Amino acid sequence: MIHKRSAILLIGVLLCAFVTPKLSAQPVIFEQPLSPRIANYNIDVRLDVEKKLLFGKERLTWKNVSPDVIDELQFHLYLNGFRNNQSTFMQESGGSHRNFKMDEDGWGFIKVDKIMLDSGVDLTGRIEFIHPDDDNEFDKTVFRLSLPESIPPGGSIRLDIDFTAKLPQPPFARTGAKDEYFFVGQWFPKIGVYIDGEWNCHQFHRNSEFFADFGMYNVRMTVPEDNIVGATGIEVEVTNNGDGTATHFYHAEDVHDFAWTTSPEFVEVTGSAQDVDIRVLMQPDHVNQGERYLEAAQVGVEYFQNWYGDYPFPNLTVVDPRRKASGSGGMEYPTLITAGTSYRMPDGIRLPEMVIIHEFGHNYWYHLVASNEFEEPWLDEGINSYSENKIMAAEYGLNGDMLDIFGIKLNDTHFQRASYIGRPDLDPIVKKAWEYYSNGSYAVNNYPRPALVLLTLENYLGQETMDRLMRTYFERWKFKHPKTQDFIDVANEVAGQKLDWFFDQALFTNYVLDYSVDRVITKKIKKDKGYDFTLSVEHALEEDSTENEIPEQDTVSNDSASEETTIDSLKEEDEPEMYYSLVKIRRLGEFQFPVEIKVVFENGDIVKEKWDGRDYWKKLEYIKPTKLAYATVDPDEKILLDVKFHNNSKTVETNTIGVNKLAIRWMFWMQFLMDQPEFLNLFSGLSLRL
Amino acid sequence: MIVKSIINGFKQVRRNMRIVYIFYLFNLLFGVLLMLPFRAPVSKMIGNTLWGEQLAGRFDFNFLLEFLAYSKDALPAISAFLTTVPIVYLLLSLFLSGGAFSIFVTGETFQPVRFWGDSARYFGRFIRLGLFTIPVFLAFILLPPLLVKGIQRLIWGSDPYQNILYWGGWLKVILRYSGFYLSVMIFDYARIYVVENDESKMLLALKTGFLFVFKNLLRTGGLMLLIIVAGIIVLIIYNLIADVLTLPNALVIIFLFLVQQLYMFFRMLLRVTLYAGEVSLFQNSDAEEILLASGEKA
Ligand SMILES: [Zn+2]
Repeated sequence: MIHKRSAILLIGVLLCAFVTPKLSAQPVIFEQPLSPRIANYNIDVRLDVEKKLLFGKERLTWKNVSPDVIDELQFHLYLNGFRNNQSTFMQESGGSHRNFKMDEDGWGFIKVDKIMLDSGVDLTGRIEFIHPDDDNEFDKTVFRLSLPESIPPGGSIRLDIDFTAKLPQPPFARTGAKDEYFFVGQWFPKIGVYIDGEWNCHQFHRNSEFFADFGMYNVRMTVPEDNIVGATGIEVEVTNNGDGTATHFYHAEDVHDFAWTTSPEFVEVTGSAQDVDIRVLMQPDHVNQGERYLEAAQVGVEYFQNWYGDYPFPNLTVVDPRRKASGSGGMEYPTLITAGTSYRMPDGIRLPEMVIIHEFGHNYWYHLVASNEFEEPWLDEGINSYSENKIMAAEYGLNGDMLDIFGIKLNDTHFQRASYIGRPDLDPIVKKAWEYYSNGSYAVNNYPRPALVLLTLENYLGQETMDRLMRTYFERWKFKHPKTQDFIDVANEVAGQKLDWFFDQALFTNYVLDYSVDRVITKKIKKDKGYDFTLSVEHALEEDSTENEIPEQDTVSNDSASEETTIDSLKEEDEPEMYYSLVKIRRLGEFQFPVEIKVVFENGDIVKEKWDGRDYWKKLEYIKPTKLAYATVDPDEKILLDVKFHNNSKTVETNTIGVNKLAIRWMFWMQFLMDQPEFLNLFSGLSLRL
Repeated sequence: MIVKSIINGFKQVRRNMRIVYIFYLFNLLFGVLLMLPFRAPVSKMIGNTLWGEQLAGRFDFNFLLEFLAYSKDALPAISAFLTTVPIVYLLLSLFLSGGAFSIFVTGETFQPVRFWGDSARYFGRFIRLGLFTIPVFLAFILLPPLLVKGIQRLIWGSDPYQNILYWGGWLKVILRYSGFYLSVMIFDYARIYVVENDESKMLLALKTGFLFVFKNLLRTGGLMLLIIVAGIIVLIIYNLIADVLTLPNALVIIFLFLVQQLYMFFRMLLRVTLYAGEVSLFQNSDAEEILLASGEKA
């Protein structure tokens, strides 16, 4: 691998194996390929700004690295998801994606005009639309191409494809056009992945992202000469065509997608982080947030490189979507991400920072570690949401890392838990992206829930082991297509223990995790009077006689003297009063997880116990010369998957002080708002545009 | 003139502090009413937990998340109270204003019979007046933002940059506030006119209030602004004090409660002072001439 910054100096101009007549030269970024480079594209595309059309000529060189003889190819035509209201995408989404909609006549499409072998044999007539995921014959997002000659193992094929595409308006589900602004993603005929003996080429769904093989891209984009272009890879040259247009030539290696953007309005902000050049393309009305974008990108690059491993590419481009084009915001492509903000976004609302760190994170968990986002979306979004949470906390502090405004301090974890506890049990995490119970279930099970699963695992294994786990997973699976089991295997190996019991529950079931302190009782032990005493606790208690056996202690206790105390020892008049204390912990959910229990007594004694959490409940009993004060399960709130923190503790005495504080604060606000209803005006007014 | 009105008003209020007490006590009573459906589920959820102690200190958003997620049964009751109690409070304030204006207009000292009697006496008329004022109120609240939007469209088209929308948003807030307070002033002076003249034609009263406010806009607006600014200053002082009262200690919480109630008492004092000041301003201006000029009175 060439070191990144020097790579951009284009150390060599070589004759390429995948040349078209127009593309005779290309730079080299990496001396040795980092990936298998299976799907390689040379594309010439011309943009019709007025009609929002793309006219493309694509040369695809595809290598058969499988042991099978291949006699058909399968392709994605993602833009056909926006072709009409009968496509699977539109049927599933009802025309709405992340609350954005297309204009009435904003439909997009892609049409393969011609597809030929490089020998000149026309295969256009062999195109057959298929719908592997459903029976929707109107869906034209996948086609099959039977080949006149099969491709042997180790062989390759070159196809020349002419296509016309129209971009949805305004940008919708990541891609599209709004007046002078274009964000062009999922825009060209793209070959599926041949894996495990078959084509993996799913239709475009509302809740799915993408899956593709690595390769090399040489893309020439012809746009109005005043336009600024940003794209995957590095810009090699810009040629002014003398007709009001210019052609921007971009080259990328070891990537599995190519997206680009263009607008005459972009304002560039540049900088770097470690060995990565960063270019931010801001909208004019957000230009004073350019530095903010840049700093967030720098944070992302530095944390990811320090924590997980090398980002091998020389550059990163961050795109700020145009107003009224937010449908293209918050998305990731290789070396190119999109963010989003609004004018004068307060510094304390770290939404742009979170989005940029998150989208850059995808360059690790979707791009470099190229899992299948159709079939196991959590491997990308979930692991990335975990990384995002960690970096937000590390960079912006544990108190208000996401929101720190008007005294309100909220962390990413708060947002993730808020989303998770509302719908914790609709589906298992591991599922095909379009097979979740609902859109909300897809969202919960691929963003906050897996993040909380990994944070819980981190607290269980310890920071150092978890860091090693993540680094090992990244290093082992970069430029490959891992599956969930591969992640589990790495976890088991690095942790040095079988964690299947955890992953089976956390990833493959809808089990809810909820431990609670159900009962706390403390009573003075009555001294027995009369003959013939060899007294035990059973006699001493008047009530709860069925619940007072001293449990077998599989526990760690710092107060081992207490458990076997009998009343015999209390017979002396000057002995202190003794108290019997009972704590009952319950497992309220199906998820079994080992828990720590902390029992605190009025004299300050603390007993720490451990419970494997498997049974339905656990009883703890103590005889001490002091009353029980309270008991808590998971006292440090390490088990972030626990859906109820509030039932993790129980006090013997009722605690009204906090309740009263909340009540008087609430009452004051009510008194204030009743008398000042116009105060609400401020919020309604500000929320209009902030 | 404004300062004179305020001073006159304040002198009147000092002689009639019981009006302030009445306003405050009702505010407190309704606050308690709104607090009860909130406190019960909170107590049920955390009353016997460590959170019940910890939340006496700084607020923990995990509580809010879990309260919203797991106290869903309580939310309908809370929202039912939130929608009905403030309306009753509004009507009650309207009721009490009759007695307050009556005492200030006559310049007498507080007599319970007079206060409550006149509260009842003017209530029906004030309700009618209130209903007539609603269109004025809506016009003042809704039209200016539409105007801003229209001007934006005229100058910058249908797709302005976000900075235009942002500052336009602030302009809308300012205009809506101004519209709100203008409506309040019109309603206040119309009520004063009703009390002073024992007027039963509410449309005439509304018109008088309207004309009076606009013909004396500097004075009427200035008086209102002074009271608003005083309110904001007291609110800032309250917040500064409340911000340091975070210790999870019963005495601190009691002190916070007292500070809160002191603040609310100040608000009531300001409101009653505003009433008295407005009466003073009205009585010292030529309201009669305004009406004569408008041909309503001969
Ligand atoms: Zn994401």
